[in-house]
Amino acid sequence: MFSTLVSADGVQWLSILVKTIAYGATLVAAGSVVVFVTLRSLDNDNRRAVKRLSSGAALLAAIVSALLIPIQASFLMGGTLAGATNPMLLGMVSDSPLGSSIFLRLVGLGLILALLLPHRAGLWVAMAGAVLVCASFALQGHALKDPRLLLGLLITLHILGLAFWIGAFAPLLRAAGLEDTAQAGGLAHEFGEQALWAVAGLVVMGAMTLGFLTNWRLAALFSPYGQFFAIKLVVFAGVLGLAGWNKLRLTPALRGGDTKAAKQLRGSVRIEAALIVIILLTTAALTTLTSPPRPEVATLERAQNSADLGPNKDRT
Amino acid sequence: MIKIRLATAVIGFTLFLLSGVAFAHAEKEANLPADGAVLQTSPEKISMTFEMPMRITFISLRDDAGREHDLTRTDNMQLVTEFDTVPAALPLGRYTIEWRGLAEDGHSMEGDFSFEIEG
Repeated sequence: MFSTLVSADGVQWLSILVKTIAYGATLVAAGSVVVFVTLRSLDNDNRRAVKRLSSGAALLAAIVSALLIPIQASFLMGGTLAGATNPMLLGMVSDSPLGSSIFLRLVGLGLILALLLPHRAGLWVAMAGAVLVCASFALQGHALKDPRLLLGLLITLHILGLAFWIGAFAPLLRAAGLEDTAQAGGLAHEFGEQALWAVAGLVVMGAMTLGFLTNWRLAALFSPYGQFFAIKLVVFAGVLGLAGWNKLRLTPALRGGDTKAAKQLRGSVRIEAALIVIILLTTAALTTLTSPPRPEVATLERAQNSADLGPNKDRT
Repeated sequence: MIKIRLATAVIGFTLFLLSGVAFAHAEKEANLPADGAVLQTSPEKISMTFEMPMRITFISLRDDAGREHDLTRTDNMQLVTEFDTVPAALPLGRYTIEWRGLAEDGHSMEGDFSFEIEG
């Protein structure tokens, strides 16, 4: 895994950085809509803040996601600036699954802006946008492996669950900063109840996705791809630990009027957010620098034969 | 109206998923010269064979000193399963080919292999 990181060139590092920002902004935009729809205990101030955050994140996500096309074109031209502006390469990348994924994401992000509309219909248009945004992650890279339909649905649901989780950070932080701890307690309680389903979904969908991508082979976990994935799992275990502490200790304390618990909740949510950034960064590195190992490559015979070919890397 | 749009979007996405063909990786099957090959003379051509059509978007031939050597290609960056390129006459030394490409299924790939001319 470390040799994979060391061998990355400047364009690949730029790609990892831009992908991380794109993932984060996209998930905040979509997650804010999901939270707006599902958390009924959000007060009016928090609802207005969520609307602003969602639209701002959607605009940032659109700009940064669109940048991935010239970055990919640059990679294909050997990491040069000329590649990033080459019309032929830009056309090739736009016509590829990455281009389709980004196009669908831009449509979804545009629909999310409907959350700003005063009419209630805007809410459902924005929700459709959030679903499309999450589905866009299933239209690229190794998500296109067979069983494609099932893998696509698993990834979409996995991203929706993650978006819900991330979307709740800002409202929870805001509520925990208010004098009225009962408001924060109520919101944390409602989030905790719904997050149980999100966590179960995240774990099941994530495990099944990993299984399909690695053909359910334990040996795949020892590849660079598996090692990056293991980092995600370890960090996610940390997120779950904090979430458990929030639900079992801090939420009851907040509902009981404990102001110290509000400060602890803010700290806990900030750490959770930092851990999620690490997960997104790892995912960006994983999808830029590695690919799920293929069964045939894992066999000794194939490995010996492949020595004549020189190293090939799938850079989707 | 919104429900219809939402349903249309969901159905459209589902059909999109269902309509997909079986995607596979664009594995490189062979290259000539083989990685690590020791040649007596400069190779007449450098070839790569892929499992599925691939557009080679970048290829370079460098010697150990980092000098780039000319390659003549005639594929016009079209999708090919067999990619050939003709190098200029090469002096003795060790050479590395680096390539990048975009496979028919949208996967971007890269790789490298080396050979040596001993004379």
